[in-house]
Amino acid sequence: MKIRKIIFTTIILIVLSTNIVFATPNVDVTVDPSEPVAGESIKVTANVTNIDDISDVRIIIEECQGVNLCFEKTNVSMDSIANGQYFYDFNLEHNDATLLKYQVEVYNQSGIYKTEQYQVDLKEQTNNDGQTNSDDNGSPGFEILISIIAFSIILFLYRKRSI
Amino acid sequence: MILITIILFLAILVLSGCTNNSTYKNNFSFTNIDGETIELKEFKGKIVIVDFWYTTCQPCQYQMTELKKIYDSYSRDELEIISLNIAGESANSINSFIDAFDEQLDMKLNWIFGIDDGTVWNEYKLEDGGVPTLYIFDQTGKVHFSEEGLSFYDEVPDNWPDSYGEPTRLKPEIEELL
Repeated sequence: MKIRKIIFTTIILIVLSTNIVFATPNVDVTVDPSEPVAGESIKVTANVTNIDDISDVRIIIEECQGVNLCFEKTNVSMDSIANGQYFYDFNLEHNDATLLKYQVEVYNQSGIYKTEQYQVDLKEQTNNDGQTNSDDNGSPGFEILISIIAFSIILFLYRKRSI
Repeated sequence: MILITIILFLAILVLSGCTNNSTYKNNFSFTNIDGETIELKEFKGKIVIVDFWYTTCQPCQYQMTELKKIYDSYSRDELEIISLNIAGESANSINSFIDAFDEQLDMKLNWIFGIDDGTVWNEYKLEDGGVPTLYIFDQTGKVHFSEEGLSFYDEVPDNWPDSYGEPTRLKPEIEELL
């Protein structure tokens, strides 16, 4: 009985120590907004767990124009904002990019842990009227024309009264 | 008279030897993935295609398939290809990339691969600095062609988006130099 207890306890300890020593590194990356817009800013947050003695956390950002080309990568250090939490505020640089790709690298004395490369489609930039910048709807000067007509009517009526 | 002729002949010989490399119009150096320094002027007399790229750029990956068609269509006396990595990626990363093409596509990317420290890219990047960017240098080192974005050797896939405009074909550009 005593021997069984010892064996059982030993097995439990081995299992526990295995979990402690080989806890899987994990990096959760989120991008805000979740549907980013080309040429606008994004906020990237990385939550790092089970990696000790972190010396640097870097974000690698690529903007691409579909299947035609990709722009130069940005590779920068993220800011540490809390224990295991890193942040970077980035202005997307290319209004004509259609795809955003990003990857996080965590550096410590053991080496580099890399996340997979994530990708998300970029929405086209819109102007204040909700039209995309590539649209050409509406008539420039339409409001001015209305104003001229209104002013002309007012002027005509004023003169008629004066006569 | 004979003496003058001999002197003139020798002078011509010497001068033609002296200007052998100085007639090469453009030159730059880079490190290949074996750590050797290579200069563009070493390829004087050949057409040289320089491909600026990086590993995770998917259009650059497709570009490699088109470069392979070119590489296999011309002799090494006629044409050479240099793929210059512009993203500071290591020789190991590039070798893994090459191995992946061999293993997954049965395609050997057997031309020159190099790593640029930024010097060459800063001089040759076009417009917004997109990749792939291709240059074709003629046999004297003069720039014959340059283009940002994916280019095709000859045939263009049916699903090439109309929004990208007329696709670039490299075959006429190369043939013009031969």
